[in-house]
Amino acid sequence: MVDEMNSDARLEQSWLEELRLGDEAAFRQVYRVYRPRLYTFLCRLSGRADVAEDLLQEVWLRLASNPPQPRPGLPLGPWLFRVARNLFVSYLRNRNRDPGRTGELTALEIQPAPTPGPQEALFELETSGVLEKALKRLSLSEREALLLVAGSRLSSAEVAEVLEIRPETLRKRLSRARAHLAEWMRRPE
Amino acid sequence: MKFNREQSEETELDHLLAELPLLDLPEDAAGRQEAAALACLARRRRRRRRPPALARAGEMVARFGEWLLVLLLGGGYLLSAICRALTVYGVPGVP
Repeated sequence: MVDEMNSDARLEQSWLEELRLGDEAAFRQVYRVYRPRLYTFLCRLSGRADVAEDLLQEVWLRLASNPPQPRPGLPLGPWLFRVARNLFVSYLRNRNRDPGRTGELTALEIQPAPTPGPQEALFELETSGVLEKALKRLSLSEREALLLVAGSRLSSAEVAEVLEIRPETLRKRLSRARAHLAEWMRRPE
Repeated sequence: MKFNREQSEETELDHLLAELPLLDLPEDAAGRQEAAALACLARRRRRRRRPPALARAGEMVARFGEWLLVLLLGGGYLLSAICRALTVYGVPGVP
């Protein structure tokens, strides 16, 4: 497991070095690996597919125009998620300045992954539906912490780095978020 | 006991969260985004290939300086020739 993480980190370092030289193949690798994870994160964070798409485009443009310096121990994943998260925070600030756009929240339609049988599919659809709704009711800080820990494949230390908080604060925030999530799931409305 | 129950609930929640389906962009949007980013990368590559700003500035000064020097020397020569002619042949009214 540790070896696998080290080899992933080494691979990412080499992609970064090649990216800084403008290598298209390295960019395509990063794009292929991180696109679904970043898009899922942004979709669930914003609750809107169109916003997630726009923000994701901006993340790729930033990576292409100014990739981070490759440094050992500083992998690419946290950098990408931090950019995505900061872009979403900026988007929220701008939207709040523009009152005409505050009411245009629409529900995100989620396509579940194919499952073995119809009963399991129904159960999973119901569970994930309840979970998605409960996630949307969490505060932004709790939602982003949970989404990063559960869906981004980053370590707790990396998530704390993305959110620019101490690991201890992250642990407390996660505990609060899980308690709220469990409560919202027990009482869906 | 209560702690164990809470912990198992947390584990179950984490499991459910991890099991949530991964979403992805529609194929055409994904292609568009990749193309835009690659174009940006190509611009960056072209910028990298250009010589540094100081070298480019030096090159420009050398190119335009050459013309300026020719103009000044040529103009100065012509002017001195005219002045010499005026002195030699004299101009009415000039002592």
